[in-house]
Amino acid sequence: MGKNSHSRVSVLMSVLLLTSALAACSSNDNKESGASGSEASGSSPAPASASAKETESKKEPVKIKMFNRVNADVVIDKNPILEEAGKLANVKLEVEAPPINNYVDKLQVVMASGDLPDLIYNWGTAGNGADANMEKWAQNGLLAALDDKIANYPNLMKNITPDMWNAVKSVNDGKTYIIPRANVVNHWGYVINQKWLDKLNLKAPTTLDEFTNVVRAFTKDDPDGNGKDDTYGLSLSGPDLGRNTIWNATNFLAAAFDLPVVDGAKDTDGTYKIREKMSGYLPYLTYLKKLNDEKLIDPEFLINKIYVDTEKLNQYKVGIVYGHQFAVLGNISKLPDSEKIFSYHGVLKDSNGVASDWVTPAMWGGWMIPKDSKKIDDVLAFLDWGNTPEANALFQLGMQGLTYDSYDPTTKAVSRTAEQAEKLNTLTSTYMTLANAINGEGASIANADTPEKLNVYKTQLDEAMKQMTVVNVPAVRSPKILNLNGTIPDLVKKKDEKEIAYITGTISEQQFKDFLEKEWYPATADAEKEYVDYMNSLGK
Amino acid sequence: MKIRSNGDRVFDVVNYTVITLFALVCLFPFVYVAAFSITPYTEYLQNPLKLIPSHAEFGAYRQIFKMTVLWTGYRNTILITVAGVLINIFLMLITAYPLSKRDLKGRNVALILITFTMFFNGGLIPNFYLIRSLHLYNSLWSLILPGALGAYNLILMKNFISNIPPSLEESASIDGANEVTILAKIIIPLSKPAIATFVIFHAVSQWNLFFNAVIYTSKRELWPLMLIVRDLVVDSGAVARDTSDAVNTGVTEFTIKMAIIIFSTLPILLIFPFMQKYFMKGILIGSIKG
Repeated sequence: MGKNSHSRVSVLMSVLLLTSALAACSSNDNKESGASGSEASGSSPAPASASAKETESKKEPVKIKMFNRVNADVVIDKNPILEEAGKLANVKLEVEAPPINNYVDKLQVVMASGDLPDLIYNWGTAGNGADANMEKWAQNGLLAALDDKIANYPNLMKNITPDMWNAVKSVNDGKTYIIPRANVVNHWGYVINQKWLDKLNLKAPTTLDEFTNVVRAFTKDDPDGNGKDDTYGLSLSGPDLGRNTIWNATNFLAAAFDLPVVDGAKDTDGTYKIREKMSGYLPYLTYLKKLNDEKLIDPEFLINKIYVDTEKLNQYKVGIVYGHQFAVLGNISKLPDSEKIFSYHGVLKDSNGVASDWVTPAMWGGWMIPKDSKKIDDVLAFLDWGNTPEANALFQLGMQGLTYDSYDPTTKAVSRTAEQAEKLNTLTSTYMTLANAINGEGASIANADTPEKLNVYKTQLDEAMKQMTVVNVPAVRSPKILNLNGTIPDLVKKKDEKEIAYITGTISEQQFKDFLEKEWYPATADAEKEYVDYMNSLGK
Repeated sequence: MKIRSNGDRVFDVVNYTVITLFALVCLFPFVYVAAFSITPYTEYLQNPLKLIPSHAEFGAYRQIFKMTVLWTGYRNTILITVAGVLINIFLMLITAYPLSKRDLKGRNVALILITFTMFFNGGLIPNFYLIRSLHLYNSLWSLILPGALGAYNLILMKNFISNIPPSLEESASIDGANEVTILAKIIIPLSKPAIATFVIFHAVSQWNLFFNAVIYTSKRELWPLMLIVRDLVVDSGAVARDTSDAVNTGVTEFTIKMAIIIFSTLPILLIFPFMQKYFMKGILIGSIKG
């Protein structure tokens, strides 16, 4: 009896303590939550927007809650660059920036919560933000359709090309729910160990034959001079294990076979078709097979995760990897003096002497505005300002005196002290930009902190561009071809495996062709038709 | 006295060899990361398996010490770890003790309810709503309270307390001790190994916590260390660094990332040896009977 009463007292005690702990926490948080609650309610209605229009010059800054994907180094609270952006655009910015690696997780929770910020960045799997999530949120009535409004914003219309607008239109209703974040146009080519070339008295290859010779020399002629047979001519890498490395930005090599590695480009006969039916498809794979058979390519080229190829380049194990015009200077953060060791070059020429530089609409996600927002015009005005050189320079370079001493927009030369460079890293980054490029170019070139480095960048890019023919490839908004991974995942995987099996010699060319004819083409016929019809409808 | 046979000696040799190898395998990743946090990057490129650098270069540590975001992360992590462990142990003891009494009314219902939470939960969005409704959003409490009392550990603790001979409690009771005194003077001292084990379990779990912070906080000044470390290390982009220092010392993103990993794991690794003797005893808790 006594024991029972003691037990009841103990249980009661535990319940009371638990309750008091929770109560203590709640009371502790009342201030903060109360604050956030009032902010939330304050953010919903635009303060006296009608009267503000009448007195435009005296308009109070509009409070904009922004949900953005920003790297962890950047301090958000009391950030002078955000404050400056607020002054210049006449807004009061309140930025929430979850960790970039869990951005989508948090975004999904926020979208489900119903308490939406005024401006939401979506990165998405498509790279342009118009992904399945955007479609879902648009269908659920969470996003504002912006088609009727965007024409009123000159900077948006100027900086965002028609291809970009087309690329983000909803595949369901054809409306625009996302403002593209214009990005720098990348011209994918290759990065090569220039020191090895010089030592072996070779020139950077521009044709497939020259390329083969260089790759062979890099592999067989001991380019690092260590007396060991420990180098390979070429390596590749893939963004994830689910995608074959041979299609990841390998424009430089596929161009020699007239084979676009992106959807949306025509084959040599001027028609649209799926990649596996293109004239260069099999020759490209056969060439990789040859490199593999002759052991001229890194034996791990099919399984390297992204950046592993660059690491091998930096380790002087391989001599060539894919890369764009910023890759050499970008590599300085991994290997100081990178610009003195490596050089960038454009894609190889095909048999007709044409080096096709397939360029897709350069976007880095985009911006969404909630349907119920009362600040749609204010937010669009803010984005319009974000697409000016002034805004781009502010977010990329920071502020004069604080993060740099001088800047020449014509040459893109920036002068800054070590202290300013360190500050720049904590105050802004390319992730902070509203538009990461104006007319396809950023305000500065990463790591080009001396005239010599800037010159290296310009010389190499100019040379590459002289050789290449730019082919603007429109974004493909054909759902079936974009969603093969979802509709026939096993067959997509099987096709990837067959490609690898062919390259490594596990299956013959005939076996590979049989697979394509009997399984792949029939399974993708419907998607191909939709894709071809869509591309033809664009009239390009 | 037992005479050891040749078979016993062979067994010992094999045993020690396997255990040593296993220990080395466990130790290697840490040694590797530690070594390359002080190795000039050029040496790593020449030999990615070289564990002893020609000279120790602490430039990466100099750079990360300048990262204010790591220090605020440290502060938050220490707070949520210390507060989380204290609350966890306190709640666990005052809950496990009454539940260990077989004659407690409603005990089975309570146990079923507790066990239920091991298999079912509301899910991400309902939990988010719950935290917001409790006004815990954007507060360090949102990183402490949701995991303050785990059902599995609670059941283990209950089982441990059940194994303490009831006669000890009865004699204390005869001497006039009430339940609180019995808990404080008898149960807790006898449960030290179990408590130490749960301290380590919960401290490690709190130290490594990051996902709750993603969902339940929106302010960077509330991010715990591991969330920051994850973003800095997993992010393929540049880690903030002083380029002039980097050129002089050979510090690169790679060495900085290695240094960040060491910087963030060292404290929890240093605690373990002091708790080890309790941990070895406590690891068997709940394994005898339910």
